[in-house]
Amino acid sequence: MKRIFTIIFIIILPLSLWAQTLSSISGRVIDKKTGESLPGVNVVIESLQLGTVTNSKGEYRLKKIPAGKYRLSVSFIGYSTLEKQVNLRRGELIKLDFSIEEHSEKLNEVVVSAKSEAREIRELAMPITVISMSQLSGTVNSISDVLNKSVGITMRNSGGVGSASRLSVRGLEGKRIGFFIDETPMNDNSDFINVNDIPMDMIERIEIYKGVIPAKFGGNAMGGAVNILIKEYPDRYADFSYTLESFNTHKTQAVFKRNFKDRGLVIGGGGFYTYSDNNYTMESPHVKGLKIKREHDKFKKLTLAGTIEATKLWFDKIVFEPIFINTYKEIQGIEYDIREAHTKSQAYILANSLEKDNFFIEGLDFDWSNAVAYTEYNLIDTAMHWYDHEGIAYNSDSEYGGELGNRYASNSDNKKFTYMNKLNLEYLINEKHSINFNSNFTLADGKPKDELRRLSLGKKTVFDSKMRSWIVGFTYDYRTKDDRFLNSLTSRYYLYTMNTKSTNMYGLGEVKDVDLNKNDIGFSDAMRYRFTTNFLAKISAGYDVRIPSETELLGNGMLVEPSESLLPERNTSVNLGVMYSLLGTSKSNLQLELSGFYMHLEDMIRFTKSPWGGAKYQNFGEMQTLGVEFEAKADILPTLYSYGNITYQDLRDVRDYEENSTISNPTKDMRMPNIPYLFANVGLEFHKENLLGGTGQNTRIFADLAFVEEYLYDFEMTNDQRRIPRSTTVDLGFEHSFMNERLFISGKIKNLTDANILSEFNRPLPGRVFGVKLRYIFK
Amino acid sequence: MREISSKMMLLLMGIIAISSITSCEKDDTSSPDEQDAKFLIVTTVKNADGMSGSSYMKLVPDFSGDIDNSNTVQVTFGSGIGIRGKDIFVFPSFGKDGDYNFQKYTYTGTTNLGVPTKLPLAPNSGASNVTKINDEKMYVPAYGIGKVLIINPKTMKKIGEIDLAEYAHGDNNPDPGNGIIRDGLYYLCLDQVGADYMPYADYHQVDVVVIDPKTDKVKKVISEKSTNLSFPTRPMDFVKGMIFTDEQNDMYIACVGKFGYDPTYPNNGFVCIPSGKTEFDVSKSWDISNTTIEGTAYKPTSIYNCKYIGNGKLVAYVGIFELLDMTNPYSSKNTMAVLIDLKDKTIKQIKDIPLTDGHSVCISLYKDLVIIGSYGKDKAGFFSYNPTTEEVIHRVSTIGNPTSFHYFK
Repeated sequence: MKRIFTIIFIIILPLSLWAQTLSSISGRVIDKKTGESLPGVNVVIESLQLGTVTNSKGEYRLKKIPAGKYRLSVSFIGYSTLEKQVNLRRGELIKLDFSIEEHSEKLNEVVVSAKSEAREIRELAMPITVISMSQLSGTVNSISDVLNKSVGITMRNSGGVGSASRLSVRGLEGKRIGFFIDETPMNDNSDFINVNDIPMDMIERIEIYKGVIPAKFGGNAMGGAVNILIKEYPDRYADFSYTLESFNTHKTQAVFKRNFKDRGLVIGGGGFYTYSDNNYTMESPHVKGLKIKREHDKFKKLTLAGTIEATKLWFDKIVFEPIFINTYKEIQGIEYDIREAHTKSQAYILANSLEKDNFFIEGLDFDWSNAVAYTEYNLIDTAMHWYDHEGIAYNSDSEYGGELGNRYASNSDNKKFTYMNKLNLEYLINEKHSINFNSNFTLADGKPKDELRRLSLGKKTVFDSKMRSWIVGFTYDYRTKDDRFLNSLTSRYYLYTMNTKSTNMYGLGEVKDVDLNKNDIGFSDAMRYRFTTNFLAKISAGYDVRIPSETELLGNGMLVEPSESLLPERNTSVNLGVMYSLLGTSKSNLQLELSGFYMHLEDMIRFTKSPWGGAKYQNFGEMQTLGVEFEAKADILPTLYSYGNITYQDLRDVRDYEENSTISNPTKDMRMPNIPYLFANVGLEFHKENLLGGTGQNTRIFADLAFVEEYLYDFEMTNDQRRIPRSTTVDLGFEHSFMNERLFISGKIKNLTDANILSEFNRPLPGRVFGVKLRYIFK
Repeated sequence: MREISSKMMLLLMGIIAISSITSCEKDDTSSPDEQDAKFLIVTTVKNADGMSGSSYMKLVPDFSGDIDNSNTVQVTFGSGIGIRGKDIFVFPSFGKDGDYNFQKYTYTGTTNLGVPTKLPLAPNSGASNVTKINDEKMYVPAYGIGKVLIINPKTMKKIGEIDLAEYAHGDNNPDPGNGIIRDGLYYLCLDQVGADYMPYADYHQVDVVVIDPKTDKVKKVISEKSTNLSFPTRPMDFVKGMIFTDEQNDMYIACVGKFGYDPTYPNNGFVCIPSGKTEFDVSKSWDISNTTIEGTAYKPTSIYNCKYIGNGKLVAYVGIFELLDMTNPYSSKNTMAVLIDLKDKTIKQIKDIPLTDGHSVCISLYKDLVIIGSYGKDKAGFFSYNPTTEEVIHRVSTIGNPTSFHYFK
């Protein structure tokens, strides 16, 4: 079956190239101060010599635009010209509203226009992949699905909906891969938001940075970062959707927004609820042929969020956002049948941000954000028996209960207070030069409590903690006037302190005070040179430091033990890339990108599991990576888009000696286990307007094939060794929109062939999954 | 032209991607079988954390020089193996994760270990040593679930079990360690450890359950409470020498204590059940933590393994608290090879055996020599010790920790 799909892809890929389906842009232009519609405004795409003027209601529509990347210019006498870069996909109908501002006497229109352009281009020196969500709007894909299709990216899932998943960029994963929402770091000291928690429909686009990360992100990332940009919704907007998937999975979502322009006030809100039984049948990784239905893997998550935004005060924008997140997750046993143990968590968050352009000084942009979070985590493991998969009961090890194999019971009540502050100052000196200052401060005070665990162990093993971290970044950007050359030089300073107590769970010593105070510096440089309009090269190099996160240092109070002696990771990287792009200049919209990368990681932090049940983060030693990735995208028919990518990443242990010895490291130069080294994706998307007749309809049908080569469970010593098997999965899906993208119906079959897929450490993943989704947008 | 080149590039991309996908087959570089392979070794390649990794088993005809891990059979990490006659037993992973099959290979004289017979046990069973009762019955204490599993070694079927939960202190599991048959009775040590795998602070005593193999019933539990010793034997088969009988048929049991990690409780040593008795003789108990190791300034704070070599003498590995690196006790090289004289109550360092970590503490016999595995600071592998001449020779270098050695006569 797999081979048939492989053959289908080989046959379909090289089909002849045809002219493409045309796209359109529509929207409204208003006065930024009064909110009134502006008739007679010019809306132009200069590169296509295509333009129009707004009607009496301020509305415009540009039709018959080929797919591509364009600069859209909005100009009106007496108003500042506004320019926006747009990425149009085949057949896409996008809506873009503009607020333009009357000239200030102090403001020089030419400078503003030039600076705006420079801001947009500056990022392009970094090795970056951008995934536009517009073409996936309304589908049942998750962010995991989308990221997994990207070159150099894998999502390390461990189960079904709500299971632990970690991003892996070029083989580096976990905490070192930055996870940002609108440039705000999410995973440094907060574990309450998972990348999959963000509904796809809310996402404008996803930026993936590899190797070198801009200082403006300011977070503690190394080797890669994923920045999810949330949509700017129209002024009056409401959006409801419901998804039904296999294994009794239900996802509902509601978002609304209202802009009271005369008062300069925007209010919005949203809620998301996910429920899943996750009761798929898996094959035991230990007993061949033993099929196990996952009966204890239920997941529930409720997120409620609101937003109040003021736009007519001295600051351009002041935003307050309260957020509430409630999660319940059962723990599914693989080796044996866990029936009661589960986790619960609640998070109360209040976020605030202030923004002002030309902050006291012309060209200085100010961006300040704060967030306070109070979280509660509970692990409940009090069962007095545990069961094997034949239903035979065994006494819990501890007389207080516990079925997780830890030999102790748990009923934890862990509380944590977190405060995060981010300041970003960006100053555009002139067209060629700009500087950026970024500061990120985090405070995390943990108060773990688990009386049952203390009773089981006969001693206290978790303690209050105070952690502070401060990361300061400074970037200087230079670009030539003709935009051929761009250089971005960044330096960072890292500081963190930690005060707590610790003891080894296995009684290896007494309770000791932990009083850490560490600092370090890092730097990077990224360059881009454009040889021709279609061909450019990028090179970047960096020395980055990542300070251990609070969870890595202190454990999570649940199953991960403290490891307070962890050292920061240090990474030296070099990235090279060439890109050939006919986007917007050819009917094929062909894009080819080839990148090579080198990384040398010292004091690598890895998650390790003890055979005795505990797990903790440890400094591994040194690791080196050489890799290459290739990606191609094109419209191979007017209605058919295709993409393909392949990644080879060779991560090797390069420690010369065993710790504290002169004995050669037995795994020197061997490939790192449990990390895929070769994977590829190919996909097709058919799209056509009004395929089934009627008007205002759009249809997309897509097929994706993902391949991961067999990789090692342990370091490779011999032929007869446990491995994580090769996997090939095929996903199929469709989406049909009615009423000019107001009503969406979509469906998907994930893992069409019901292939047996094992993740890291041979964790079984779900087989074939069906999903349908209904979405309606009031706009 | 541009469109043609675009098509070509796409085609090329598709071909590269798919051909890469379909052409990556595993290399088969296994060597042909060799005859007269009398030496079986097990090595462990641990990860940098010291507490995880992988282990490998190999039969070799020549026990000298460098032996690598190629053409090995992967076995469960750190659980070791047990050999009785030609039966090679591989135990399940210790702990809740990993392989929970109990496996039997059969030695054929060649380097080929063949295909094992598997018996899935309860997950987290902790089965890690065997005591053969007869050709069709053996006892396999299960440390993780507090039972003795009764298994037919010929058919590898479970034929019964003895539940020991009622003898547990402080929890539901008395943690059965190693045992021995003497005078028709099975003496099985109960480690009585808590959730931290250490003896309970309020229970410093040695418990041994006496089982009648004819009925598979517990006859009684005997305790030695006077010496403040605890944790009799460790559960793995490669430390089975921690319970033994001497030429007089007196039974001695080595007691671990707190692994030498707690300076306030360094007690460790030996207790004795004399010949003809089924009770301890406390006058023969010996807490070795008060005895200075000759040639050093140290006193042992734990005993990790030992092997009786006759005439009241033992080769043993003991832990030294002063050498313990608490930042990573799993790979700390604080373990010293010593010669213990039960009659004279003396302990002497066996020089030239490097200080080793806890993953390499195997002691086995090969003709007149004692084979000692060690993972030192600058040497790793198997060393031979001649008790007569006290000569130590580094016989074999290994890749990773040497964890087990067996010689098929």
